[in-house]
Amino acid sequence: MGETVATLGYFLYTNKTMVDHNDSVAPSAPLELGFSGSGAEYFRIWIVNLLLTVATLGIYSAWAKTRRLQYFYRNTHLAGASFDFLGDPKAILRGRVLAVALLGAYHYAFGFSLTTGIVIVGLLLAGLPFMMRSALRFRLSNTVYRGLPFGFDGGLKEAYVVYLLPVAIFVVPGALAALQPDGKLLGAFFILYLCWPLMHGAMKGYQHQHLMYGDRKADFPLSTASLAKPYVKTFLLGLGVLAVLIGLVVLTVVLSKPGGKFIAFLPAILGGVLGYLGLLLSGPYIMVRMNNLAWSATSFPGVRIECRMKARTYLRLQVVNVLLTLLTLGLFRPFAVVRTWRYRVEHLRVDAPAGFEQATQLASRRPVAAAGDGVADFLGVDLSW
Amino acid sequence: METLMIAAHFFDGRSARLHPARLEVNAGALTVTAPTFERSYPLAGIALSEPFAGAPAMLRFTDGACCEVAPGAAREQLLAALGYRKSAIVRWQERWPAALLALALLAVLLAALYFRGLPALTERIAANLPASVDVSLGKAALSSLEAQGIVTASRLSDERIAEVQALLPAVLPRQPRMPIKLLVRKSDKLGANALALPDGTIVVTDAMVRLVLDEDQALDDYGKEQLVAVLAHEVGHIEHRHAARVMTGTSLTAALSAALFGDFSAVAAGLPAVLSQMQYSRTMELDADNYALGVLRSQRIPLDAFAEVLSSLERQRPKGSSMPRWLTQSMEYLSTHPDTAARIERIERMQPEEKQTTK
Repeated sequence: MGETVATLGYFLYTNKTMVDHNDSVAPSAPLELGFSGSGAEYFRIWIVNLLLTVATLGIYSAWAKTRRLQYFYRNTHLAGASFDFLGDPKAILRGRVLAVALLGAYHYAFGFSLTTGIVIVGLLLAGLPFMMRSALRFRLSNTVYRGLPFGFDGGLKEAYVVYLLPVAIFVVPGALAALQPDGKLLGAFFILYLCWPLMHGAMKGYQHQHLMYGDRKADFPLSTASLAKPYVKTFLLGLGVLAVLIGLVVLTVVLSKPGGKFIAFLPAILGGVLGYLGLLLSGPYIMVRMNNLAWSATSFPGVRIECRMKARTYLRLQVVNVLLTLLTLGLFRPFAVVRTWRYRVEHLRVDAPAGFEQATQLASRRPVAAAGDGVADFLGVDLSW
Repeated sequence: METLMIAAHFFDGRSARLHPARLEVNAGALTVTAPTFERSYPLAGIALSEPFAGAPAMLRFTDGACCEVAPGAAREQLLAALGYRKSAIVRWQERWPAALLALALLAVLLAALYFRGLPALTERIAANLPASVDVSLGKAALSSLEAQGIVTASRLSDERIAEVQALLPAVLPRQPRMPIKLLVRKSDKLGANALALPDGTIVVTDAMVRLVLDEDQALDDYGKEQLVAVLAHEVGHIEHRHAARVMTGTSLTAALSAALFGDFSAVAAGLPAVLSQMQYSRTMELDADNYALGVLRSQRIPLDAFAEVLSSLERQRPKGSSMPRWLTQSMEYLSTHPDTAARIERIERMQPEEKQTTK
């Protein structure tokens, strides 16, 4: 599974979708969310953001991020109102400085001494779950719809229960490799990867269970195991395909004459390519299924959310995005981001049997004491880029 | 002054209820009129956020209430009445020519950063790194090589090792930057090879020593001259502090790619991984060659000893010759590491003048 920290950020914190499409209700028919932005407009915002970020050696990135979120949120509508992001760029900058310091420390951790390395890995293990929770709080409490902010009330203890293992998966292998270069322990550690579906399910559950809109808590009845189901399905499917491929290879080897060695390798090569493709495709597939499961199970008083992304169309969208981004040396990226956002927004619906306006009356502003999270407000920790 | 009336959606900030309302601007105040209430806000206290083309304008009031005005002519009128002035950045990103200019500037800036900024910064940082960094890096690298079983104790006789060790003092500069020591180690993985670690340790493999032995398995003068060339090349790396430079450069490049593309894998890979894949750049190899050539000249050793040992090293590599010539050439062009053949040719080009002066 994703070994890079980029994917770590992605998996641990895929609440880009969480923020925008969440909320209230329609008269009787389900309400659709809409997006009014365009790739061309976002391209111009993106290129100016990028230039200023590079020119300021990254400092502007916090302001760039704020503008980007505002562009996407304000262009996302539901029932006559738009979303908005009110995060303070300076808080985001502080969070980024901290993140850069941590990453830098990790980068050099074992280059100097074992003790430094172990201390830094320990710090990361102790600090990252806390930061994950802060990131959720920061992002959600700064997302506003109809004058009321969203929120996140997940507890700290639960954050450690949920995030400690996934963080360890990414942070500890480096430490083990330094401690025991022959890699025996490391191999044993990788068994933990088998538990990844459950970890991912637990993170998703934690993110959705504690969503708030105004003073209302989300209801989320799904268990970790049922959130992990898409992995099981994908795994079984992959096993089936593998069996067929192995069968084909064996068959060709048996049938081919002793001389035709090259022909015998052909299905093996083909199998390898197909297997790799399958692996590439399973990522987005699992993401789509989990998103659908999690969002469709999330509801607020009087309001049900429905997410109906389709794995096939989403995959096609992403394949086109990747190809065009490569072909244009990255210039298609802003268009790709808009296409993806629009796809996600357009596959979300909100259902309020008793009427949306009726349901919105149920939510009101949170008392200030409950809304504030000092650390989250001070450090706009946000691990998504 | 005529008053302006605009339809808007008003939210009081206490509940999520949508109030269809009418906005009027007059006499320094904005009046919100809804079916059940009317409120007035002084213009000075209204926060107006950047209005995107297809998105509503968001007005936020000091009491926590807010108001959304759909895009269109009315929105523009309201913005004008509120005295909204676009920031420089907003004006910039609104126009295509300016946005394309940003693209061009970005390309120039990235090129400047990559080709000028990074090397200059690398030099500065490397120059300011304390020598203790080199020492701890070198120790970590050697113990990692030993722990992974990449290098093990030498199988050569003590006399042979002593013979090799005796070559070192002659290649050292008068005042070495740091104490340099020589280790002879067996390594199946590295084959015939010599490494310079950042802390001044040079590791020469058994296979490297065997490579220069004559037919009787003895270390004759020509063999010694070849080893001297190899050692001098490695001393060159240490004297020029190439390891610290490569390390700093790799870190900076990783940081740049993380900042630009959000690709943190290189940063997260950690220094040990970076060190193990470290490759000196073309210029660094040539610098080390130059250092070696200087040592050879000062000791009146003919340069073909160096060329010869490089070609035997090249012959050691199994894959080298099976690649088509055009492929090796284009790879050489792409790679930052100089092709050995090119280095040999360079040394041989210097040789004629050498022969005139020495003989």
